[in-house]
Amino acid sequence: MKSQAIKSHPLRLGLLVRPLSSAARVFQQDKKPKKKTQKKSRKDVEYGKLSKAQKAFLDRIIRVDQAGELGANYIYYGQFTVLASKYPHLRPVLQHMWDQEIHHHNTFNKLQTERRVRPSLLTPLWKVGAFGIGVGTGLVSKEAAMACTVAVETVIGSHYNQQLRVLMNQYNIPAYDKATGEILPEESLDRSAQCSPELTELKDLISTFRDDELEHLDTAIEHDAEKAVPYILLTEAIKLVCRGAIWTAERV
Amino acid sequence: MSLRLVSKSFGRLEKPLVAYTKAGVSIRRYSDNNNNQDSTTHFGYKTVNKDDKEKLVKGVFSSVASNYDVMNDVMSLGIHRIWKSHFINRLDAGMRPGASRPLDFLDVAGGTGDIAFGLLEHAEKKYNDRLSTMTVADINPDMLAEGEIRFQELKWNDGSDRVNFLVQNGETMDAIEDNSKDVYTIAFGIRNFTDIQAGLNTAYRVLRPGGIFACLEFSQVDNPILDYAYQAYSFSLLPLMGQLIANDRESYQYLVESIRRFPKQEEFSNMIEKAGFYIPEKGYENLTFGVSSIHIGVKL
Amino acid sequence: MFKSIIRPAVKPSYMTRRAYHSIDHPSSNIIVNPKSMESIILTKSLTYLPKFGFDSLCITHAIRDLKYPDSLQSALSSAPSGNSLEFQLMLHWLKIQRQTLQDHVLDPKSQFNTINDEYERVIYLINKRLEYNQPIIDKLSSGLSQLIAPYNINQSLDELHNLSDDIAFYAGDTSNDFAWYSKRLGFSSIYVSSEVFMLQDTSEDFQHTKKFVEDKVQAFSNLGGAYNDVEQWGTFNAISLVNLIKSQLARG
Repeated sequence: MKSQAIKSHPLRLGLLVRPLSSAARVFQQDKKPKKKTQKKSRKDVEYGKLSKAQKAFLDRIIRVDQAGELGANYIYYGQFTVLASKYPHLRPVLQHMWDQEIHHHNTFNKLQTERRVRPSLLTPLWKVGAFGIGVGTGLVSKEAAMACTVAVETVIGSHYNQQLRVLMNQYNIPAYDKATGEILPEESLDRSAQCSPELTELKDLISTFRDDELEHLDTAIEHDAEKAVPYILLTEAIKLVCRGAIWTAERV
Repeated sequence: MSLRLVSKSFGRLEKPLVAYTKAGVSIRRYSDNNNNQDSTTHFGYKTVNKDDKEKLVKGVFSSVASNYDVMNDVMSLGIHRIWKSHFINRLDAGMRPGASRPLDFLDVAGGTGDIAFGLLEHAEKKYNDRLSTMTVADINPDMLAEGEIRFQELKWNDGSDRVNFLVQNGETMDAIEDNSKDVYTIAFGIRNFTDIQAGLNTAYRVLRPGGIFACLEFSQVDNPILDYAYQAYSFSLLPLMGQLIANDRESYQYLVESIRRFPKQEEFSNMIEKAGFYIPEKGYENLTFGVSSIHIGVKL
Repeated sequence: MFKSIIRPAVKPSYMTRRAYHSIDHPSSNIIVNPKSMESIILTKSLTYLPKFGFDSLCITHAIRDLKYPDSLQSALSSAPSGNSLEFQLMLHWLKIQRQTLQDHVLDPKSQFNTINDEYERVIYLINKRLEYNQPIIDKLSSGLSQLIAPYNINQSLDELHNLSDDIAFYAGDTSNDFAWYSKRLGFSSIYVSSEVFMLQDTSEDFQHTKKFVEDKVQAFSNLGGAYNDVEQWGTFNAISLVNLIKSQLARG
């Protein structure tokens, strides 16, 4: 049935390489496979295609993390505006946390531009809302401001953890040999080459930021967050707001 | 419409089948050689011997052949007519002016000829194609006879050999040569195959390069709420209506169950791909929330 | 009339939208897969555009050139997207032009890389893209009419926004907030109005169109400055307000 005449048809070009994924098809080259015992490093490797769902998830986490860090940035901005002059001893503490948030925010801003992700449409709302929460809790008391930090950082920390879990488990993307175009099994890859730098760096970034956020949480507890009245009500309410904002920012 | 068909079908049962095999149309019969003695398959929700399914399906269609359209009307609330015409329009097949040769159509499980005649009509109207040939194949002689009755009254019954009726097992197609057809259509038929994959492999075999495989079939509703409603309708109401309309609850029960048994859209697309076809885009188009769908494969 | 029964669900517009630009998985970013059957046929069809315009005849002839029977046309006419042949042709043409523009930008020798100013780059890119219309300018309006048909409009807008996103990205846009949207919307509308203007333009070498683009982009860039001023003014007022409240509270 599969005569030579059929195989030579121009459109079969795409069909012949079909057993490989479509990514492989794009970079398919008709060369003889070579045997190599040395482990492949990053520069020998061409990473495969991200699926639509994988792209959509990356798109979403960059957007929501950018919005989240923007929120955090503006909450500290608000708190700092209110508290820094009133309580000089808190000034360096707040300044340190705020600086870290600014760094996080700038990092995600850069990522958002470079990876061509659309920022959250509600950016102006996040700015005003976050600034409002910072100012509001700061005006109530310094303990309330710290309780606010506890609530926010709890939500952000666990949200980062969720993202890391997905990035660890659902991004096993095949690697292809740059020279031959064949799929490389994981064992033949150098440890640093098993995952693309793009994804490795994102995971490192998120886990570093998560650690920073959890450190802020500890700092806030050290500074009497739990003495805020009513602590449970305040933190739970803010957590609820944060989760709602995350849900919205992922989508809009 | 349906009433007319019902009364027509009741009248038909008394006439001998032979009466419809003349007038230049030959029915050829080929023995089916199915050797899978030890394997089983599904017949609706029952698990049956592979050999038996063919007979059982034959039984169903022989018993519903004459009022097949009524059954489809009941099962799809009449929408199957729209689906079929949509199917034909989407295929948009026909010999274009200036082409070097006419096309060879093959409509499988096309007993009643809906699709076959629709395709010919479309090709003639849109491209003025009066040369392309049509082979209507069906495993069931009773169904095929139904199509031939209709054929007698149509304009294509002009003594030329453009339209052929052939009793054929879709899984083997012994009478059809390799690389001999351009368009393979099958509407609401493939789920009755004993071995669907074998049917697809055969479709690939008989098509020429550049030929297209197009399948219209009941499928899975993707929206869970609508699916629930649809299931409720098809499992409780349909067999009852089958009993009332055609006095044949069993056959309708089988049809409902076989729809449920049929692979999901993605799975079926993968099977088409496995047969060797190229799948454009995602490979299928859902009609009416996925109650049915059109699957496409291209032999390159 | 029956279209709503057969295909009741409106196709989600994000199906074709670009999301997340990968750095290390280059195959994730391709605009058209040059090896798929559809794109081989459609690309071949584009060579008939000057002769037939955006008409299915282009596809019929392309299929014959590729030595396939007429039946192959069914593979495109029954494409699961449900797009008409004419619209598929138009979309493919747009994507190929976008690809050409991208190749031009990424070519280190191109004139584009000598321009530094963001808005100068936008002007250059829009004019460059419009230049690709010139060979088929007298057939273009039939193609554009495909784009604005109600059932095509979603996909058309996606493709348009992909173009304006490319323009903004390559021009060097780094906005992270609402400005991201206003820029893209602005470039989209400038592009569309310039294209319509171009259809009527009879001047030598489309001089008038080039001037038109320049004026429009200039006006938009002035508007963007105004927007940023408004935001800064808003922030300033918010902080003043906080200070006012603080001073009132301090007074008791």
